[in-house]
Amino acid sequence: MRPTLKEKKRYILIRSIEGDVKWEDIKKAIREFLGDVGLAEANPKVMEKGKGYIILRVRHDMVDEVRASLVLLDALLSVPRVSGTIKKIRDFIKEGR
Amino acid sequence: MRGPGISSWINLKWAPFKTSTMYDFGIFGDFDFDLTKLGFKGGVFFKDERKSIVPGHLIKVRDKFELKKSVKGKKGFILLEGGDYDLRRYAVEKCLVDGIIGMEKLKEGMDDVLAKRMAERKVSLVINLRDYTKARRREVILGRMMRHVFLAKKFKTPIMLVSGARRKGELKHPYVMISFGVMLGLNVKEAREALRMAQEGIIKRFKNEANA
Repeated sequence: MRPTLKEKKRYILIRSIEGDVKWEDIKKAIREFLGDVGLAEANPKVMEKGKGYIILRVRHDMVDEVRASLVLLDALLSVPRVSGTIKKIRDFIKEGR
Repeated sequence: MRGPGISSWINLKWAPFKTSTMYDFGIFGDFDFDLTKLGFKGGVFFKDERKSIVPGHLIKVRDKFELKKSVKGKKGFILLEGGDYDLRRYAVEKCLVDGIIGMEKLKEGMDDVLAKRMAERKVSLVINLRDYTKARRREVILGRMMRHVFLAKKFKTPIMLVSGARRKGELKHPYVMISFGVMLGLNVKEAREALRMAQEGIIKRFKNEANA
């Protein structure tokens, strides 16, 4: 497939300030906020899980929707970085920012 | 004289988007938390003045007389919650408050007349995220929020986004709040301003009052 026709993606870093982030809770929140259709459109995938952080891959035009759905979570989270490549997110974590 | 060479733009770094200029002006719980950890510059803790950037006063009254009495002599951020439409209209027209919160919970919250008056007198529409997250019928609240934002944009009423946190876990990251604002119909710039503009005005006014 030509690159222009491929689906563009964004990588979102979700970090918990206290406790741990669970993918199931995030998915539930997205489903509640956007519905099944929205969840399918956003197509979120966990790319990496670490201690207190998750890197999610979503469709590029659904970043705001996915981020907004985190309001439904009862956890102290931060979303410090969104990037087009996973490498930049990893660098961001390595730098300890 | 040599102009800017290639090296000047190769090393160009985009200035990071600063969340540190943003404020959460609606924290209703009594807990200790350093808001700078989340990226906020400060906030208003209604239960504890010492932690607040400006003292906050939440006013819940039923009639105009009580309103006048409770506002008298108070400095800082004055927020009106509840009451009927006439009371809210009176508070706005007499410039007694800085913002009105919780209108989404009411059937007759904000209409075009109130939005226009609020814009003229710089009274903010305060959107509380907790009203949405803890509502029994979330879709109704979200719909009203969208309608209020539409009216506020039309008449250029100042908007404030607040977390309304009562526990530590209910605090939200500024980016999450901006994204929620975008969902309500604001653009990214307006959503950022909803966390900064009106708040900075209130802080400035409070400092001037303190110095005078």
